[in-house]
Amino acid sequence: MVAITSCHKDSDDYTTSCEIELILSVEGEMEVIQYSIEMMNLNTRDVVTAAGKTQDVITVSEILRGAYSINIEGVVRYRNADGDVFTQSFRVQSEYVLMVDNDNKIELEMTLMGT
Amino acid sequence: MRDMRHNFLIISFIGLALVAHAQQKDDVAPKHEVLAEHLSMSNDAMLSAWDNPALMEMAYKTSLTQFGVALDRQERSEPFVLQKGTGHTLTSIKVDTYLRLSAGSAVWGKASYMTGMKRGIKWNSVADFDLLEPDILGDTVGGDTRTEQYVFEGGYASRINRWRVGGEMLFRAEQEYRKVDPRMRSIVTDLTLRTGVSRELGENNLGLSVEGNIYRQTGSVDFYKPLGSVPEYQMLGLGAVYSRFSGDINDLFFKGGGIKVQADLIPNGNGVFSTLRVSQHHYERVARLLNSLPLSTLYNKEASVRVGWRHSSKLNYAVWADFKYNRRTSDQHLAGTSSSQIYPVIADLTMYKNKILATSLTALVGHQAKIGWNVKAQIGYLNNKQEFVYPHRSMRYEHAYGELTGQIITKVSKSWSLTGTAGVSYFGRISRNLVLPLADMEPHFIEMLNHNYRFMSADFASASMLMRADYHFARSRFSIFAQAGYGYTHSSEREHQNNIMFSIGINL
Repeated sequence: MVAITSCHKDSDDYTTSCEIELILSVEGEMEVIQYSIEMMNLNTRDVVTAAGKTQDVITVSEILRGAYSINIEGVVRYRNADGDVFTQSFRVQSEYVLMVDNDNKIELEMTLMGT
Repeated sequence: MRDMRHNFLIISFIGLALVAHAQQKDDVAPKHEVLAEHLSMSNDAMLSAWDNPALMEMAYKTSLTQFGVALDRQERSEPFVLQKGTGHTLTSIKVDTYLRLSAGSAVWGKASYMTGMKRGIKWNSVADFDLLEPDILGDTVGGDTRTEQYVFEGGYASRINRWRVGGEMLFRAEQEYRKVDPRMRSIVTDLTLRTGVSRELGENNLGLSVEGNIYRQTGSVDFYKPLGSVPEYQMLGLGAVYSRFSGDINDLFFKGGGIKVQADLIPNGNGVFSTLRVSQHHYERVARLLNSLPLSTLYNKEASVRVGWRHSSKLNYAVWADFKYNRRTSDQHLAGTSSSQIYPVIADLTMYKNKILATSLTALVGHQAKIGWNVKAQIGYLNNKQEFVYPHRSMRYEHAYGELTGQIITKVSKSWSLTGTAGVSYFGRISRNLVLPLADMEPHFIEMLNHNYRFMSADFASASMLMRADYHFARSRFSIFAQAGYGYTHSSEREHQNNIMFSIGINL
C-alpha cells in the first residue's frame, strides 16, 4: 500500500565518472602509459571506447551508471628500482566493476605482456 | 479453472437477470422513454462524474437491463500500430443493468464474457499493451492471438437526506494465448474498488471519490519447434531493449496498481459542472526465471479537469472543456552480478519518459420529444512526446481534430423505437519529429519504429454509423433490440480500417 500511495520521483542522475588507477605488477615507477580502453555496460551491452596517454590514472567521464566489464590494452614505460627503463605491452581485464556512485575510483593491476 | 469461471459467469448472468426481474415487476415496461434516457448522447457530459459511485444514484431516473450478444470485427489494411495487429473478431455475451431500487437508491452492474481472435500482432507478447507499453516483451514473428475476457462489475448508491454514498467493484479476468510458435500466454486479473460520497449544497452536489486498483499479469512465451525460436526482447521504449535479459527470459510477472481521487461539482438542474481527477498507477515487470528480479517499473500519473455548463429545458444544451495531462515514465532496474541466479538491483534509472497532453472543447445540443435528437461537436488538440534518455531517442507528434456526431431517437409506433447515430471526425497532424541513433540500432527495430511513427503521426479521417431498433411487446415488460454499426477510418498513409458491429438482445 505504501508503494501505491507514495509519490514516485524520477531517477534522472544518469551519468557518472570513474578514475581507474593502473597498478604495475612489478616493482617500479610508471613514466607513461599509452592505452585503449573498452568498457561494456553489462545491462545495456553498450560499449564505450577511448584511447590516450597518462601516467597512471585513466579518467572516464559521462558514462551511464551501471555495472561494467573493462578491457584495457596498451604500452607502458616504467623505471625499476635500479633505474633501468622498460617498455612493455600490458593488458588489464575486469569482468565486473560497479559504477553507480558519483565519483568511482578503482584500482586494477596490469598484466605485463613482454617487451 | 475454466469451468469455474464459466459457472461464475452464468451465475452472474442469472443473478443480475433475477434482480432485474424482481425489481421491475411493478414497473412499466422499458418503453421508448426509458431507452431515450439511457441511450441519449446528452449523457456524455456526465460520464466522467459518474465514475464517482455516489453520483450514479442520480444518473438515471428509470431502470433498464439489457442482455445481449454482440459481434465486433475490425480489419486494417495495414497495422496502424504493429503491436495491436491488423484487426480482431470478438464475440461477446453481456448483461448490463441500472436499477432504481427506490426514489433514493440505485444498483447497477455488468457481467460479460468475450472471446475471439486478435490478428497480425507483432512486437508484443503480453496482454494489455495500451496499459503496459513500452515495458513489454516482444518478438519479430508475432501472429494471431486468441483472447478470452470475463468482466464483472457492480455498484450501489443511496441517498440519505442531503448526502449520497456509493460503492462499486470492477473485476476483469483475461487471457491471451497463441497455439503456434511463439506461444505466448498471458493471464490478467484486474480489480478496482471505488467508494464515493456527495453532499447537496443548494442546487449543486459536491462529490468526492477514491479508487484503488490491483493489477496482476503472468506471461510466458514458449517455442515447441526446437530450431524455430526467435529472441524475445525486453522492450524499454522507442526500440530500446534490456539486452542483458533479452533472448530467453520469457517468463514474466507484472504486478501493479494505483489510486485515483476525484472531486465533482454537479448541478441538480442547470448550471456549472466540473470534475477534477488525479491518479497514479505503477506496473512492475518481474523476471520469474531470475528469482523475481524486477526489470523495470512503469509509472503512470494523470491529472484531468472537466469544466462545463449545462441547461435543460425543451432544448437541452451543454458545453464543456476537457484538459488531460498524462505523464508515463519507466525506471529501468539495473542488475548487478548474480549469485546462484539471484541478482541484486544496483541502481534505478528513469530511461523512458512520455508526456501526453489532450485538450478539447465540446458543445452538445439536443431535444427530447417523440423524435428526439442530439448533435455534438468537439474540437481538440493532442500532443504526444516520448523520449528514451540514453542512447537518446525521441518521438513527438501533435494533432488537431474535429468531431461531429448526430443522434436521433424516435418512436416510430407504439411498438417500435429507432435510434440512429452517425459521426465524422478528422485528425490533422500539426507537426512531428523522430530522432533515433540509427548507427546503434538493428534494422528490424528501425523498421518497427518507422512503421508506428508513420501511422501515429498521420492524418486520419473517420466516419461511423450505428442503427438500433427496439421492439416493445404489448402488455409485457420485455422488448427486444437489434443493433448494427459500421465505421471506416482512412489514414493519410493510404491505409484504412473497417469496423463492423452487430448485436441483438432483450431489454427488461
